[in-house]
Amino acid sequence: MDTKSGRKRLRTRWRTQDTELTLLALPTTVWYILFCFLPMFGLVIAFKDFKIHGGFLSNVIHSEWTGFKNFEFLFKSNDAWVVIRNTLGYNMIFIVLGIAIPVILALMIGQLHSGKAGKIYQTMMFLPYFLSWVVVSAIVWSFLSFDKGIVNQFLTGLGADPVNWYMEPKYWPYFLIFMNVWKGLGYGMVVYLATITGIDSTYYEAAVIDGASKWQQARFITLPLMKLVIVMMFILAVGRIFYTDFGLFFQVPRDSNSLFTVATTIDVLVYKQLKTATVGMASASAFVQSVMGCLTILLANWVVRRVDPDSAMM
Amino acid sequence: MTKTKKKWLAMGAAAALLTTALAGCGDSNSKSEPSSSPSNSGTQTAEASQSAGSGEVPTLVWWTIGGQVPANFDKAIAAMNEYTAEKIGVKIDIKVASWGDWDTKINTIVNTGEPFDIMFTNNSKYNQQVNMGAFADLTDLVQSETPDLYNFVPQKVWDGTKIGGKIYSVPTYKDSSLTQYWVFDDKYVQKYGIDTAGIKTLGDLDKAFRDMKAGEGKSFYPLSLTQGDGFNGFFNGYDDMTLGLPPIGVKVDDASRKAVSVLEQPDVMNDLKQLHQWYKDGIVNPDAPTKTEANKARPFFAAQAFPGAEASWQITEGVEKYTMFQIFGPIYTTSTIQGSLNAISANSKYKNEALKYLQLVNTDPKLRNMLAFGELGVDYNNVDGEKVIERISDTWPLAAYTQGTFFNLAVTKGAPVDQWDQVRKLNDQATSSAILGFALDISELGTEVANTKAVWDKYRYELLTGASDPEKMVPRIVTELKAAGLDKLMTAAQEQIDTYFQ
Amino acid sequence: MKTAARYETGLDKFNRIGTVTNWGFHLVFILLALLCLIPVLVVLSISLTGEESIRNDGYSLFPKAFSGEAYQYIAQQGQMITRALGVSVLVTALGTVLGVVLTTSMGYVLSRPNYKLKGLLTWIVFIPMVFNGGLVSSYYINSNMLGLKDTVWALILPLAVSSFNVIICKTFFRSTIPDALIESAEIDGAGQLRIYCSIVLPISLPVLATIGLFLCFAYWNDWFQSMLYIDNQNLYSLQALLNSLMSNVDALARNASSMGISYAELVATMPKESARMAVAIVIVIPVAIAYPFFQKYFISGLTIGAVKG
Repeated sequence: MDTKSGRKRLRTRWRTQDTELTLLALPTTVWYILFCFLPMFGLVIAFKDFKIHGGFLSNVIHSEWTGFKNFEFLFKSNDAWVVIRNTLGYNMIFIVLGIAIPVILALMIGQLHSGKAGKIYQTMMFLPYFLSWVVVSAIVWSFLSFDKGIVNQFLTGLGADPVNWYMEPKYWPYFLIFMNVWKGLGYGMVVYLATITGIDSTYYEAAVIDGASKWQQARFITLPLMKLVIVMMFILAVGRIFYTDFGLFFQVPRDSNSLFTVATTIDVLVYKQLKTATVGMASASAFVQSVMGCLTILLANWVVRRVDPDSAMM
Repeated sequence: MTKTKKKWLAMGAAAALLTTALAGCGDSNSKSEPSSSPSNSGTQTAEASQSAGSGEVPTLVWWTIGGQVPANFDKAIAAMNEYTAEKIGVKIDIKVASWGDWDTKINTIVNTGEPFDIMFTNNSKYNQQVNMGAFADLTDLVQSETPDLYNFVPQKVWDGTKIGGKIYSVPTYKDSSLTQYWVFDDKYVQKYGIDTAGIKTLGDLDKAFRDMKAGEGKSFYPLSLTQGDGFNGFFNGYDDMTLGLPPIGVKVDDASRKAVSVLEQPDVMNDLKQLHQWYKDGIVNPDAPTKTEANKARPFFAAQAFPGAEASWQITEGVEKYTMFQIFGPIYTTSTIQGSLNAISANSKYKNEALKYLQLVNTDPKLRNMLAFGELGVDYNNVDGEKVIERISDTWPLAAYTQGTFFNLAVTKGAPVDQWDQVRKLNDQATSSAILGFALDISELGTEVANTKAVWDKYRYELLTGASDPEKMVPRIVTELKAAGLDKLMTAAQEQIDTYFQ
Repeated sequence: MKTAARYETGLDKFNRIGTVTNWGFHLVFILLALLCLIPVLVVLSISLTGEESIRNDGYSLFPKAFSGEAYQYIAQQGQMITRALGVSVLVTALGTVLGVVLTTSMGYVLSRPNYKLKGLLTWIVFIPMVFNGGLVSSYYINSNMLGLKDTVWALILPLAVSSFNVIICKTFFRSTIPDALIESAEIDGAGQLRIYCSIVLPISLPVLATIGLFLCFAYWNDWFQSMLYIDNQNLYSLQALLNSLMSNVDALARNASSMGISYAELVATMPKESARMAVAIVIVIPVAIAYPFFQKYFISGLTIGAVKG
């Protein structure tokens, strides 16, 4: 498609199309400047001992420079390793499942004989997205609460002993993975469904005439044509590998002490450290996460570019 | 959609963006934004009418904590403003940060320098906010501008607000000394013949609990605990220097003022072992470390209170009679005094007016009642002048303890008429912690504080509800705390204490 | 991806999956749908259960003691809830339209291979995905500089564009719009805006619908912007209201130890658990009703005017 290397060597003239395209992109660019780039001066707070002198800007300018002092607490925590392991571990599983499952389901749902049924299923699968984590945490509580939960009531009804779910770490990795997939199911499917919809039906017609089975059609037509989107979702997900959903890892486990080693991620630990911290320390933590995210996304993009240059994002 | 329509839409959106940007860029304090809500905000009208030439009556902004704002909020505030404008020429605009949002919201407001005049704060944030320079130094101002207020609040209580020897807020003089009560549902006291007068320590509760458990059955838990509370008042014997980290403290009656590792003290260890024994024997509910909301009508609980409180609990918990008895205190510590403070912004243009307003709140019963209960006639009615009132709604979002003193506040119908006098008596009898007036300066200890608190959070729920075995866990916790900087904190604390009290 | 009623050619019918496979798929989806539906049913059940019953008998899928008290509370607070609903609808509608316009225009521009400033704009879009100036400075810009505080614009503007959406857009345009189509229009002398509006957009309905859907749901779900920028509780969105109600109870419980007697008094005035769940239902129901309308852009292939070959 693109002759990227070719384009880089030519110094093309500025055409009218370029002006028009620039104008077309202008409103969004203004948005980015106002809402993303202007606030970036705040990154400098991470390096200062923030004190109040007057208005906000004068506070930022006049506060004393402290170098990396605000960053210390992140690296002096003994739980850093456990927490990093949890974050990366869960995220890697989430990335794989979060792409594989919605893709497979998107392929399947289009094949149903009854399109109406497909619509109904899809609507229902989207519902969890609208339950905020606070509500989901309440729902999980209603199932797993020791004395009032549905699961324990069921168990005691059968004559078994009730289980103190929130204090048993061994089940929780499965719970957390399940809940993450469950909540994002409908959302993920939408992207892939839209891609599949955009595939020209003549490809399939030609394949059928050539005697291809459904499985072969999926393997040789649908998936390859979705490659670009899947790779893009993969790179974006990898770029966020150090971020986790705070609601899932803090509110759902109810901050239970027993679950600390299996349910605490970087975001949760930093939240706990920052409860009485200064704004400088909070900025420092955001800064570090940003840098890590930037590095990982560039790395992911570079790896993809090695394997398949056309699929890379940049 | 046709292409022309799309083109116009695109242009319109771009125009809207640019206009908003331009409108905002010019004047940073402009308050003329069109609000799209059907009912207009009281703030806008109050300010508009005020600047329309109604004299020099300034409207102060007061940030406080509370619940859902009801529909009659603006009317209630307007009634208060009418009264105060006449009396002292000041009006107020109360902004409510709800309980759940307060933390983030207040941090953002203070950090970004958003203008305000008065702000509610407490020991969880006070120290840090003062260190940041957010609040005005009131030491001289309060004595010169509002001597009534200064004389009304006892010296001990003013001392509790001092940081670096200066006063940065107006403390709420209420049950500022801590008195701890243990409360039994009376029906169990009668049924099992519990001798409440003979109970003086945690261990003394053992017999009562075991009798109750034996009598009521397997799924009855005499001591029902929650995650956030644990056994309320467990660390009352140790002053935490407003640090909020229980493992470091000074024993309240320790004349030598030594900062110690609290978890390793023998009396604390004994109590922890007792809790653990109870947990194992089913006295404490097994899910206590993860249970956030307390059960209603608990057979036993511990709480900070004052005489007459059982009347209120009987109503809210739906229990016929509660028997409560004093177990600890009354005692003043810096933390207990800092439970409710109202500070004035360092950048406020109306510091004197703000102080005068706070003085009026603390001395004038009519204003005090309006602030605490709401709109007269809608939220409450006067039963005996401004001394006794009856509440007729439960939607007023503000909590009395965040605003001002209890001693000019009306008593609600049904509670003992001399309730506040009794509280005052308790305060007068109160002893002082050995380090009263001292608050730990954490400006150089940020890293250690952050990390030790994170470690404590990892273990505290299970330790304080008895779920974990203290003999195994305490050594482990202390080792981790030390790795996170506990020793540095203790050394710094001791140095500061010694300097402060020399 | 055709519906049963639209098997036009014998070829499509031939290309169907087998009946057994079809039932297999149905089974899988029924299980999944149930997994997603049951929690919502639990929420519904709690909202219809009396508080006493929950306290004594615990939670269950079907209310053990029916009580309309939660919905009575909703009706009482009707004004507050209707207002929050209105805010949510307004913000979602305006925000989605604005967001779609901004996102797709940028996505299209980035997909043009010969655009001179493409590199620059790609970085402009990419950097905010990883670098965030922080809450405090964003708050300052939005409140003090742009004056958005306490207006609906604070709820709309900051969320209008997400680089994630822009990149999805760009990828879609690049893979589905053939260059030949654009170039032939350029040769005919059409300006870029005209090409964009009259050629590109009509064939990109799946993309527009996808982005529109994402934006719609992001706005509907958002509560953080309200909490941060709105002081006047009349302007709270529905999700923000619910979040406020639930986090209030949580915060009070966490601070109970230091509040002494005030805790019990305050908790007694908070809406009960069933009422909070009722508000959650009010949030989910409009979505469950509205979503099927968007769906037709995904499942029934809308590939009008695709260029062949």
